[in-house]
Amino acid sequence: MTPVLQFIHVTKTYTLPAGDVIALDDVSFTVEPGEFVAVMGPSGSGKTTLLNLMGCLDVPTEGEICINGTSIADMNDNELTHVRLNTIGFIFQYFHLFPLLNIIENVTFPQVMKDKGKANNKRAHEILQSVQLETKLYTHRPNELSGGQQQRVAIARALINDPPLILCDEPTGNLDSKTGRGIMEMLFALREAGRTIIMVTHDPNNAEYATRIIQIRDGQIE
Amino acid sequence: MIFLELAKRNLQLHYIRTILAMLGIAIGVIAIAALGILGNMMYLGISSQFADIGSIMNVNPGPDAPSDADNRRYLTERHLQTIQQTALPNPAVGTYSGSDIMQFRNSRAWASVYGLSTQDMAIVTELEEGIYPRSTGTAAIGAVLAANNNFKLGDKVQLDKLGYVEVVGILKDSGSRMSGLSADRAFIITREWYVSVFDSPGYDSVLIKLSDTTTYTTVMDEVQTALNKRDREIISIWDTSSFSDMLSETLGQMSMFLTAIGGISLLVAGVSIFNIMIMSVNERIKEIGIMRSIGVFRWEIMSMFLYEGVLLGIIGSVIGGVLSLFAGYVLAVGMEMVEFFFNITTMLPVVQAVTMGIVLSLICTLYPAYMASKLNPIDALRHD
Ligand SMILES: Nc1ncnc2c1ncn2[C@@H]1O[C@H](COP(=O)(O)OP(=O)(O)O)[C@@H](O)[C@H]1O
Ligand SMILES: [Mg+2]
Repeated sequence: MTPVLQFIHVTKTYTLPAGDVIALDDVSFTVEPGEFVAVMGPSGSGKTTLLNLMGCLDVPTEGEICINGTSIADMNDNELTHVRLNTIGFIFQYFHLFPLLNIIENVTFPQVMKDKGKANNKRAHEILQSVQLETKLYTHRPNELSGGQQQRVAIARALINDPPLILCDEPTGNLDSKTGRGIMEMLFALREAGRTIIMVTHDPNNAEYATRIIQIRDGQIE
Repeated sequence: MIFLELAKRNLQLHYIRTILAMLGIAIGVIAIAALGILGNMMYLGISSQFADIGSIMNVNPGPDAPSDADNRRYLTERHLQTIQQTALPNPAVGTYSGSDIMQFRNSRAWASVYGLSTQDMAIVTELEEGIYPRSTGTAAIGAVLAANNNFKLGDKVQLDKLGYVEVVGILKDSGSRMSGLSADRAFIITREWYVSVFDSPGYDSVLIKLSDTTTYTTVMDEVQTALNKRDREIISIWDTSSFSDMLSETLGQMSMFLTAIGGISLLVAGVSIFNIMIMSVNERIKEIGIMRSIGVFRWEIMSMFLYEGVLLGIIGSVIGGVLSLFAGYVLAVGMEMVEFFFNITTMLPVVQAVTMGIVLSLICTLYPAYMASKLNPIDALRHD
């Protein structure tokens, strides 16, 4: 089976006026389909950089990254956008729903982008039901929802295109612990349904839901 | 069309600044369109007043024409014949002109007297009522002369030299026509009677009636060549082309000035659209980052902001266009030029101004939209 994700001797250097910052230093690992990987490490260790590279928001300075067997290292912006649209679902710490769109429109947004056509509201309803959001909220705007509800909408939005890889950046970081547990159980259920999930967190409780933990320190995997 | 929808919603969300920007564009469009309408109406009004200018060409004796004992220059029968031959197929009419003193209700007043043959009168004047004079003792009189003195057909007016004159015809008002016979305040009598009363060695003027006013310059050149030989200026003809050139130049400058004023206000509106769009982009950097992470392409981000700016421009410009039609109509009524308002050339500035408003909005949105599309997704996501 092709690995969902492969990092091969990946180095990422940020060039700043004060000098170069090596955010990732010769990182290699592989994620197989159906894994639930937690990336852990102290602040400034390179977690977000790693996530940005996995999410095709950036390309490595050196090394090779393959998503579903396709190398992204030499891709231009347009090609990277294609990969993001077709293979990745993002879930952020601050939910990041679109304030101008209602819940259904938020969820169908990636599908409308991918199909370049009409919103598939039926599918959006199914997914929203699977993340247990009440139907009466579907036409509300995000700011009318609680944090936990917003994060469930964000999960639904990440799932609508059925991406092979789901990336989460501190998905419970902005929620109380009870709501956070609910979100983690939802992600765990997704993993059990066969999805591949990579989650950045520094909450050890969250890491317990993962099938594997990648520890990162000073840009290197321990 | 999700990006068009997002553009609409963002405009609605910030409705106050949306309305202000639309107002700015609308005012700019109104300024350009209304001033354009004004300039056009003035042009149409003035040129219609001078439309007749070329229909009759006045050929007057020049400095080298023969003159009588009083140094009054005139044109001879031979001159007239040459002019008639040269001007063919346009008819040329020899006229005599002089003046007499009218005695009427114990007052005395100067009046012009023209002498020309009865059939020639119909060529260079128009009758309002009555007939043209055919015999001694009868006259057709100008409209202003008739109106001012309340002369009616059949009235008898006494003049010093002519004696009693019976009014048999009243001419149409020639309006503000600047060539031909200035007959509005004159007595028109037969050539025979004129010659028998006034001492006249020749014609005071020859009038050529042009069937096509655009041939004015050609006919003028031909007549001049035929008569003004060897640098002698027997005849002189007023060159109307220099006059109409001057007129259209003045009007052109005026409407350019008006358009420039309108242009400045539209430019100000453009700057405000630019400003708003920069604000709109800056407020939504994070949103742009999320969109890019989901897989929205650069050109799609750009289109979203272009929609927003162009939507502003279209709505503002169309509102401005409609209002400027009203403003133009009010101007037309005020200037008593309504007949020139319902005219393609008057409507054209409205279409032009609306187009300019929309194109300007597009131009002013290009840079902010491009800036938004060029944002690095990572930097945009980190933005707060
Ligand atoms: N866009 C960037 N430009 C410059 N330096 C960066 C950028 N992103 C991260 N860094 C630097 O790279 C290092 C790793 O940062 P980051 O990946 O954000 O770590 P974490 O998410 O674990 O806190 C830090 O030293 C940080 O200052
Ligand atoms: Mg981080």
